[in-house]
Amino acid sequence: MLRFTRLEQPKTLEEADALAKRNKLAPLLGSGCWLRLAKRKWPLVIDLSLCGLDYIRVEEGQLCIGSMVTQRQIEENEVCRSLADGAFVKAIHAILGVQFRNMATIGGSIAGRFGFSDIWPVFLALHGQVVLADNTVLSAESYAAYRERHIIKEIRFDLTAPKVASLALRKSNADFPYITGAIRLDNHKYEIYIGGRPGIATKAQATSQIVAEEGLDGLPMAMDKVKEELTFQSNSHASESYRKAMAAVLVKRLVEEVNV
Amino acid sequence: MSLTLQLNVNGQLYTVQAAPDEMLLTTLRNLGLYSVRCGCDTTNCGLCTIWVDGEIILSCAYLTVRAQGHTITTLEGLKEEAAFLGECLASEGADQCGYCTTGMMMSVMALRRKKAHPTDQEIKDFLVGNLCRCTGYQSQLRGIRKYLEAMAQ
Ligand SMILES: Cc1cc2nc3c(=O)[nH]c(=O)nc-3n(C[C@H](O)[C@H](O)[C@H](O)COP(=O)(O)OP(=O)(O)OC[C@H]3O[C@@H](n4cnc5c(N)ncnc54)[C@H](O)[C@@H]3O)c2cc1C
Ligand code: FES
Ligand code: FES
Repeated sequence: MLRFTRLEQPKTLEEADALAKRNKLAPLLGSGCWLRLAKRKWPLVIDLSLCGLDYIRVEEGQLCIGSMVTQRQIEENEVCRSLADGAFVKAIHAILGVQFRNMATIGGSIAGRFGFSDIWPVFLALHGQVVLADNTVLSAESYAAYRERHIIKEIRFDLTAPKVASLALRKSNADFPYITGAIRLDNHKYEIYIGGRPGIATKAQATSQIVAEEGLDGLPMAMDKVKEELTFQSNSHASESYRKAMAAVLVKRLVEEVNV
Repeated sequence: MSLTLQLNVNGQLYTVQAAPDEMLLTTLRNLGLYSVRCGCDTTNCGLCTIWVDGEIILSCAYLTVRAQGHTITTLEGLKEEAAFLGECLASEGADQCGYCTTGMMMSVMALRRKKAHPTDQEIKDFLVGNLCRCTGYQSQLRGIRKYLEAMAQ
C-alpha cells in the first residue's frame, strides 16, 4: 500500500528538481507501483506526473523517451518498436500485464536499478543513456553504479543500434525473471550482459571476449566462463547453482539469437 | 488532510473527498461501484481493472488524485455490453467462482475497441494480467471469441 501524508505535484521539471533537492528523503513518484510495496508511510511524496515528462521524440538521430512514459506507450510507439529490430520492446512486453504496463514508467524502471529487471540488460546492450534533470548525460553503465539521487528527465538511444538480442527466464508467465540477459554484436565485437543473479545486469567481460575471439566454436568455453566470472546468489526465485546453470544456457541462446 | 476532487466516472461528474494517498479502487467502491474489487492489492491479479481514458489500468495502484481531468469507466458504465459478454462467458462455462470475471470483462471490452478481430495470441497477450484460478482459461477464450464474433456483425 502506497502511504503518505502530503503530495506535491510540481508543474515543471525545474520545480520538481528544486523540491527534490529540498526534500532529499521524499520519494519521486513514477507510477508508484513499486514504491507501494514498501511497508512505510512517507511524510511527503513528489509526483512527477504533471511535469511534461511523457514524451517520445527523435532528436539528432537519438530516440528520447521522457521518464514518465509508460512501458505500454513504449511498446506501442513505432520508433521504439523498430529500435534494434524490436529487442527493446520485446523485453518490456514480458512484464506482467497490459494494465500494469499502462502504469509503470520507464523512469521508475531505470531508477529502480532492479536486479530482476527485464529492461536493464537490453538498456545496457543498446548503450542507452540517462539524462538527469540538470541535463547531465550518463551512460547506462555509469548510471547503474551512480549512487546520488537525481530526477531522471529522459533516457536516450542511438537510432543506429547494432544487432541486440535479449532473453529472460522465468518460472511462469508474468512472474519475476530469475535470470535475464542481453547481447550486442557490433562489428564482430560481442558484449554480453547478465542480470537477475539476482544483482543488477552487468557485463560478462571475459565471456564476451571468448565469443568475440572464438565465435560459435568458443561457446562451450564461454558457457563455463560466465559461471565463474559473475557472482550468483540464491533467493526465493532460484538457487545460486540453478542460476549459474541457466546463465550458461542464456549465453548460448543469446549468441545463437544474435547470429540469426 | 483530505482533498476535494472532481471525477468523471461513467459519464457522471462526482465531487469526492479523498486522502492524498487514496487509490481509485477505494474511491470508486465508496461511490457504490462494487464491480471494482480488490484481489491482491499488489498489481498482480487484474481484478481491479478499470479504464482511464479508455486504457485499462489497475485501480488498486492508481492514485485518485491523478484521476482528475480523466474519463473513468467501470463495468457499471458498460452495462448492456457487459451483460452480453457475461452471457457469452456463461454459455461456455467460463465463470466458476466468478471472482475474476469483472476485471477480465473490462480488459476484453477494451481489447475489442482496440482490435475488433484479434488472433487467439493477441487475446492471450492482452489478458495476461487477468488471473483466473478456476477455469484454465480455455472456456474464457471460447466465450470471448463468441462475444467478439457477435459484436463484429
Ligand atoms: C508486482 C511487480 C512485478 C514486477 N515484475 C517485473 C518484471 O517481471 N520485470 C521487470 O523488468 N520489472 C518488473 N517490475 C518492475 C516494474 O516493471 C517497474 O520497473 C517498477 O514498477 C518501477 O516503475 P514505477 O513507475 O512503478 O516506479 P515507482 O514505483 O514510481 O518508483 C520506483 C523508484 O524509482 C524512483 N523514480 C521514479 N521515477 C523516477 C524518475 N523520473 N527519476 C528518478 N527516480 C525515479 C522512485 O523514487 C522509486 O525509488 C515489477 C513491479 C511490480 C510492482
Ligand atoms: S487488486 Fe489490483 S491487481 Fe490485484
Ligand atoms: S472463475 Fe474463479 S477465479 Fe476465475
